[in-house]
Amino acid sequence: MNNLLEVRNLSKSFGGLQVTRNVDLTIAPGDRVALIGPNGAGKTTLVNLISGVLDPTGGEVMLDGSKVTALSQRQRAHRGLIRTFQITRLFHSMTVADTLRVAAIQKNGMTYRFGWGGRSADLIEKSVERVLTDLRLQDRRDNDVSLLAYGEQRLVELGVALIMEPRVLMLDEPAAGVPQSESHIIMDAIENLPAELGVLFIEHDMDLVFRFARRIIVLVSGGVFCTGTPDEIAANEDVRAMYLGEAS
Amino acid sequence: MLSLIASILIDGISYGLVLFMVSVGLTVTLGLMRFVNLAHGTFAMVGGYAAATFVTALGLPYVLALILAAAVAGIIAFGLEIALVRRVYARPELDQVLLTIGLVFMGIALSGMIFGNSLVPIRLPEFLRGSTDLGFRSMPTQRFVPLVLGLLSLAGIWLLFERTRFGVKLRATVDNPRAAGELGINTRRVYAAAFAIGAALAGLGGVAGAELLPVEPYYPLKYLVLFLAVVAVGGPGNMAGSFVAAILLGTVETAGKYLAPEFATIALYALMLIVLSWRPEGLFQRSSKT
Repeated sequence: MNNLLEVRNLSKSFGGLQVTRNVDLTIAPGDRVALIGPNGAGKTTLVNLISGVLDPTGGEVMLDGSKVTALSQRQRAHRGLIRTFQITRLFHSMTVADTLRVAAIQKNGMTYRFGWGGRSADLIEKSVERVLTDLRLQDRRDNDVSLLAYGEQRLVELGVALIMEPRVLMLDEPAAGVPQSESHIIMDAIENLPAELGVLFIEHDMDLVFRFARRIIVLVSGGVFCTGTPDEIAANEDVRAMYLGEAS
Repeated sequence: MLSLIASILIDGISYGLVLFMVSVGLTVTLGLMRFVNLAHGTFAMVGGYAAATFVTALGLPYVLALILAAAVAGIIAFGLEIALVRRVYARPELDQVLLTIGLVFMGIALSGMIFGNSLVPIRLPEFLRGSTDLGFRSMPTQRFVPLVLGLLSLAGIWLLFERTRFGVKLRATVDNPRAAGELGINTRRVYAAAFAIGAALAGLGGVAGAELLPVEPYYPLKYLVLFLAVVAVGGPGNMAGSFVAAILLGTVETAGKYLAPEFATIALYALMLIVLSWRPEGLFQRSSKT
């Protein structure tokens, strides 16, 4: 299967400090890849480089075989390379439906249109309804985001990403800060992500990693330490000693 | 007695609607964009002068002059936003105050130089002159202008904010500019448009309310506290709150003028003090839908 995303020899330095070291990785349709590593390993930096938040010092990011390294985050998002953020970035005074509408308007390139009317309005409303249904947020559509439980807020954040119709979705700690009692909301949502979507996720919660990942990349000091299936990583003595042991 | 109450209500509501038209843009810039714009009244004055010029010097029909005056105020505000205002959004409030009070004084000097220091009347068309018999009293016909335009502005603002793509993007931008930018919203353009629309409405209010708040060079300074009072009492950022506050303050001041003219202005500020002591965030904070 052709890769959706291919990262070649990606590097990043801040002055003399190299935070990403010659990283190679690929994401194919349907992939569920977890990026793990100790704090400071450079996981978020790597996602920032792939999504275009940061410019790399060296290497390439390819999407569908085309170089996107020189494109802005917005241009990459338009091509289907979407990320969520570690800290929720939502419109807290807006309703869930309006938050999704903003994303749908941007996705459909209606930035210069003023009113709601016309066929484009149907397109927007259909997208909003689809995501609300997929994430089981229909009952929350007219609630202000600020009044949702934290887990639900993270779900809306995922909804904003999904309405952009990603081909590769990068989730930065999707369950971070979500209380145990609400974690099933996130688990269910990740489990039900579209099958053809390529997913790369950073996560510290090992239950979540081993539940959803089909491949795990261990990052240490900005470089890929090892890659493997969950079973291979779980059996890797070095990883256990260095990271899993530390995490437990 | 009943006719006195009805008179107070009619005059108070039309005055309140003028205050609403002028102040609603300020509630957007001050409450939502968090920009302290003391020059907002300047745009109402610009609208008044522009309408007077269009009608008197160019002989344009009043209704056309009204629309063009609002457009002139909006266009000037748009230019100012791009040239000056956007540079101080992220600056401390003192910088914003200094810039906008500077604009007020420039506006006073310029308008005095161009139009002189006396009141500038806006010539009314035949159908708005004279008075209309309401049964219990007669009312200057021109007072229907703020009544009609005020209500149309209220409906227009609601539609703009709640039922347009621009509205949803503006709400997103003022809520979380960073997230809005990441979604691809051109936040600078949205801010500039919101600033210009608020100024255009102020321009409209400046023309519609010229009978009650006469157009003169010191207009932006003379009525500044009044416009700020509407925003503060209504709750910064709350459009419906500004509407209620404008009607309330307008009616209280009008009642004062009818019942005890020497205390009318004091009554208005006393009401403001009472409301803000009771609810420092204003009568209506930005609402949340549960």
